[in-house]
Amino acid sequence: MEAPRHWRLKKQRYSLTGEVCPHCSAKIFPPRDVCPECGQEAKTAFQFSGKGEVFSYTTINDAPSGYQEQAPYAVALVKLNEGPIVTAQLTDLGAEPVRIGMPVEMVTRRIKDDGNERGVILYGYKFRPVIAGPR
Amino acid sequence: MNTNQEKKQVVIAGIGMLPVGEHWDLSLRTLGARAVRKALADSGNLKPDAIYIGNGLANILSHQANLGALISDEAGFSGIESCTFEAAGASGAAAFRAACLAVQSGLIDVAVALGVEKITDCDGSTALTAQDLILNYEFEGITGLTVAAGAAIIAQRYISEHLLDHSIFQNIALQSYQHAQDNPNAMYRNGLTAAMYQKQSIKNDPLGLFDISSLADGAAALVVTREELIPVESREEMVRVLGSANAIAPLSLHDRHQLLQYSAASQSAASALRKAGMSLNEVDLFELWDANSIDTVLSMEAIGLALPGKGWQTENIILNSMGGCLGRGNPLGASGAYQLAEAVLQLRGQAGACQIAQLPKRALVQALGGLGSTAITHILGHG
Ligand SMILES: [Zn+2]
Repeated sequence: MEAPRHWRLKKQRYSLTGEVCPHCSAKIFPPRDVCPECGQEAKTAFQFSGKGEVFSYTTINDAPSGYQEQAPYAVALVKLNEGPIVTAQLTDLGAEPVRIGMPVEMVTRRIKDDGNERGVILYGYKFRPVIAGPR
Repeated sequence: MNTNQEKKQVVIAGIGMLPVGEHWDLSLRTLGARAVRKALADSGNLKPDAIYIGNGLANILSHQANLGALISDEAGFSGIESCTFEAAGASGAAAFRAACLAVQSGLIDVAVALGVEKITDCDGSTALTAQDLILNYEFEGITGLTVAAGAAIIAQRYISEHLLDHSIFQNIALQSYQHAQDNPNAMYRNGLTAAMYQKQSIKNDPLGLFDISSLADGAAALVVTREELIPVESREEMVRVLGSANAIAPLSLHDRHQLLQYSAASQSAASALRKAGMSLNEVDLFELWDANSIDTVLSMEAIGLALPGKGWQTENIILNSMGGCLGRGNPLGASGAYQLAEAVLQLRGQAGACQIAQLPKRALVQALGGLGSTAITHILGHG
């Protein structure tokens, strides 16, 4: 179990907390010390809406250990409405085929079984299709 | 920026390769030491001052770090300088660049660059999981992404943006498998037909079995020294290192400004050509990265060999003449060293049945690590 790492990342994984650059207003996820847009220091927390669209995707049949129970599953690059792209699994797809441009929203789900005797389960963000209709 | 004013010419005095495949009977140290000894024998038994080792996965798959001491001692060179360089798929190329810099500096006279990877000490799924270390663990690996899936995500976007379909990858695979047929060190020597390709299982949509290289055991080494240390009568035939450059780009796919532009590949190729004082049209032979066929497509475009959307059209250049990672097999941290050694064989006219018809004068060899996040380019040639 990698407790310190999971503790450190929990705001990012549970609530998609990133940063906004105080110098150029770029939205940043995941947070980092140097703004990738202007190269200056970035430290101001920013809460993303969790809405976006599929930028690209694939399906994983041969899953790595810790993920085999979930296979097959789709992993996507999701372009958030605020600009940044995040890597995430897609979930709750039902019969709907994944397509580039599909609107999606963040949900919190089980990410991984730690696979050890203590049975620790890791939670974090996945994205699901936005239900069609008025929003 | 450096121009072509490096007085001390680096020459490749020897090469050695083991067949790529499943070496159940050989350990990591034996594979590595044998390639080193083969390369030194090819150099006329030069005595190395340093051995630089490119390796990606020994820490996991062989439970082994500190390869410098392990392998160099095994090869019979206790007392010399040795350590490891890691840059995912570009590890072998990183070790070679280190060897070139060392001899060019004048502080080292003879250096060996070894790429070595021992994949088959564990089962296949362990090897693939280890390979996923080259992704950003906290924000990519944690989602269940794999390296092949990352390549597929890039390929999916490529096909969509350029209104193409997955058949564009067929020629790259067919060509690599065809070239590998004549390479005695290649893993896949039975060829591949269009019918077989079209019936392949799709592993990660849109990439199939033959679009993704297979990890395997391998070791390849090159001996470098300065031209001034070589007897005058032997200098003419030596392959020289004319340019060398390493560039990186964001590791995570989601951090890249343009997913379909391999900026590191572009920058390192341009920089290596500039150091060689050459333009792209003076290159006769290309060894480009093909751990996944989309890597080759985007490398073609990044280097300037094809326009965006056309990088799958490789007919106009001589590419991966000994099979590349797809046909030769991909011993990850060693593949960069194989690419270089294969280019040396072509430039020497010693590539056997793989020899290209008109003896090439200059080769551009580029290894990528981690889906284009690291790119190391070398220009080799005869002056
Ligand atoms: Zn900024």
